[in-house]
Amino acid sequence: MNHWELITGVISVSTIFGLFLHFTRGKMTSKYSKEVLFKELGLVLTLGKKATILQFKTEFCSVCPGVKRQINELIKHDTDIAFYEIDAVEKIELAKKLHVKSSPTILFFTEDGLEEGRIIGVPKKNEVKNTLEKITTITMEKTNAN
Amino acid sequence: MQIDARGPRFGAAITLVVLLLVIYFDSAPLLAFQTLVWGIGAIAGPHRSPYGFIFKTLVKPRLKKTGELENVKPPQFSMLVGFIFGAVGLVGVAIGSPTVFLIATSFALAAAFLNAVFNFCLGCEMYLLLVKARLVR
Repeated sequence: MNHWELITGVISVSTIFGLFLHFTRGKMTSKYSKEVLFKELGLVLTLGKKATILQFKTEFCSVCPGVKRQINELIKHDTDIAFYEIDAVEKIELAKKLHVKSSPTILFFTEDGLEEGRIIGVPKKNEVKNTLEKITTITMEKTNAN
Repeated sequence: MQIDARGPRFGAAITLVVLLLVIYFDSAPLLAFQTLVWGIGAIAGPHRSPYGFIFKTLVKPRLKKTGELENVKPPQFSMLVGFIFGAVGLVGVAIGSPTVFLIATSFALAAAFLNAVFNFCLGCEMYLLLVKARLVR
């Protein structure tokens, strides 16, 4: 393999990987849904009446502060939604238990503490809003059923 | 400490060009220069590295919009990761192994490309995986 072929190979693989990340990250995924109950995590945190958001960050996550600001801005008028930021390194066992592999990872819990889904990476536009609306609908349906 | 988030991305774009030249011309001196840049950035911060200086003096004054600020630690950690790749590549040269030189430089090239084009910080992403594997901290 000559050097030109090596450069072409590295750039091609990196482009495919970058495009894969671009199109798969930042969207709600329910891969681990319904597996974890918030109360089983051993956190001294109070569940929100409508929903709870946990954002995992690390010291070396450059986009995490921006994501935190985005979520805080979105929920600032809704006191029934609880939002917590957790350092994945300080709570490494919790991160392992929740299968958190990168930062930011944002987990959404329903009012009864079930994980509804998660967003890995910087959320795409309206993704957090749509997820919270979905959880609120679930909560309302449960309330009406009771 | 907070820095202009566009600075490290600009640095990654220059790094990308330098690493392309390193591989194309098989240039150990150029890799040594790039490794020195990473080393300065890893110790003093990316804003004090040569590319950070170019951004601050030549590029930033010409930009109209104000850039978003970010913590200096993530890009500083990336430069440490880059420094390690560069050092491994130079060890390859020292022991007469062009394969080690090319593999280490190729990894650094891929990381710089992802940072410059997709704003994806490979070093920052690796950090949590390394902690989980008990390889750091």
